[in-house]
Amino acid sequence: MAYTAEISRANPSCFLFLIDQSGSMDDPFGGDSNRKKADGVADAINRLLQNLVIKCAKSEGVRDYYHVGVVGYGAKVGPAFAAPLAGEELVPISRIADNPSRIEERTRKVDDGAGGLVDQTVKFPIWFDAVAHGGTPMCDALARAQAILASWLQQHPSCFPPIAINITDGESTDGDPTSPAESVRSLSSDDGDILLFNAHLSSHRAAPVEFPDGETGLPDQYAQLLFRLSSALPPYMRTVAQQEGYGISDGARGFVFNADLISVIRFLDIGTRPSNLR
Amino acid sequence: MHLRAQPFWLPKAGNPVEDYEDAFWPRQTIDREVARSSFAVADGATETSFAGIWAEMLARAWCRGQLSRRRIPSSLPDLQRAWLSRVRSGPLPWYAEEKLRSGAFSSLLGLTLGNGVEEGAGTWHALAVGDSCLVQVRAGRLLSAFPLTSAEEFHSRPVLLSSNPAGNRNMGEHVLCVNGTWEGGDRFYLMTDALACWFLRSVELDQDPCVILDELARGEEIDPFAALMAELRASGSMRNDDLTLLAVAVE
Repeated sequence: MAYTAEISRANPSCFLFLIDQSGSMDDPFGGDSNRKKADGVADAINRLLQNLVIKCAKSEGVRDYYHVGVVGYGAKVGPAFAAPLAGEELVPISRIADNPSRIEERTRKVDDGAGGLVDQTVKFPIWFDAVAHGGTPMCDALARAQAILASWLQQHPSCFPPIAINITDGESTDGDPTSPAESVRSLSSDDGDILLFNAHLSSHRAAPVEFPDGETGLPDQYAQLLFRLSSALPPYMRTVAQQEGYGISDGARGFVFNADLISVIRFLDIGTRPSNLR
Repeated sequence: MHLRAQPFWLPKAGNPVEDYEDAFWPRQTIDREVARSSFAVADGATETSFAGIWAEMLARAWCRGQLSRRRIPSSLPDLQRAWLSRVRSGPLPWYAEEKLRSGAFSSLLGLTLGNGVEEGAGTWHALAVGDSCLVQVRAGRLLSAFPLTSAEEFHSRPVLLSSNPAGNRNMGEHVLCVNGTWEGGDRFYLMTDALACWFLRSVELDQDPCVILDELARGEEIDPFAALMAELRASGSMRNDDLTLLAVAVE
């Protein structure tokens, strides 16, 4: 049965993020004139990495359940980690945990356990700042992803299938990304096909959409194209998502519009996750 | 009553012993006459930090009478403070602070056996939060299972007891209790989830897991237990997880 391989330090899996850094990312995000799409992308990738690190953190440190890479595409296509990880393609999650480019402090409201909310100062690691420059070579980025993941699979043929997450405003400038996306999705380990998910950040003032099962209702042609490029959520993810309270149908795909994909990290199974852990 | 209790445990295959995050109490084999005795197993959640310490604190607290349904609301805050003071030491990396804030989570399964009015019989009481399970076996047959009764009820998202007060909202709904009676010769097996799931599935398949556990528990050696568990894991009959069995025989 597919998607049942154990994710462990001896048999790690892989995450590859593709982030759109093109000039169009300078446009407003979701109709909000004060916030650019590039800020939305930086925020999304920083939060995804933060959540992935926390998922793998244990009492003694961070366990290398995943190796993680980030490919930026805009004026150029290539590894996009900021220093001190600059230039590295795939990095064990423990090194990402210990090497953010800086750590900011933010305030958030948390449950005080007695029915109220209190302000809490938390550390917020930053690996990426907003970048918006050049075209949107999405085909080239997907080809790079294919090469990186093919190499990973040669070294880890029995791993839980890697997950590639593309965060973009959807307007490819180097051709139709359908075929290179298919090449990524056709890669597989002994345990199943690679999963390609897409997060579409748009200037459209439209309601967020999470894990739809069809194109109907998606606000534009770019959203519809990215939906078609996205893998279906495998049954194990649908089961966990349903346990977490998401209304997800059998044909749901790994696609979100003007929303983040943090929930995908919650869907990963590396052991018991209490349902009352929020 | 005469009680004989023997713990068996193993870390997840491929993990060092230090990574074992189940817990059981008492820690030693018991073989003596008593009027009343308590036992517990607990399973610290993989995705939380310092969960093994929390699990052990819960198991020990049950055996000291601090975690009955009535006493949980008053005892938990003390245990939560004790957990925090034990795990917090000096500055921590950002991710460790975040994990501490979320708290540790663990299942708890507690059993208390007491003498009855007549010799050779008595009563028992059990409490459970989460998916660690108790089974009562008589003459090689399953008499009752608690709190889960079938293999399909197991999944990786149970509600567990948290070291963070905010994680225990509405916990009263998830604390389950049951009472029963025992006869001389009965066996009680307290198990964490992977073992309990295998046990209940084996019952459903008419594979006599009661007899297998009865034979294992008659010995005191961990080796036959480890060998059987390795075989079950290798065949895919049992999920690779920390394993704990507390076998209690009452006469």
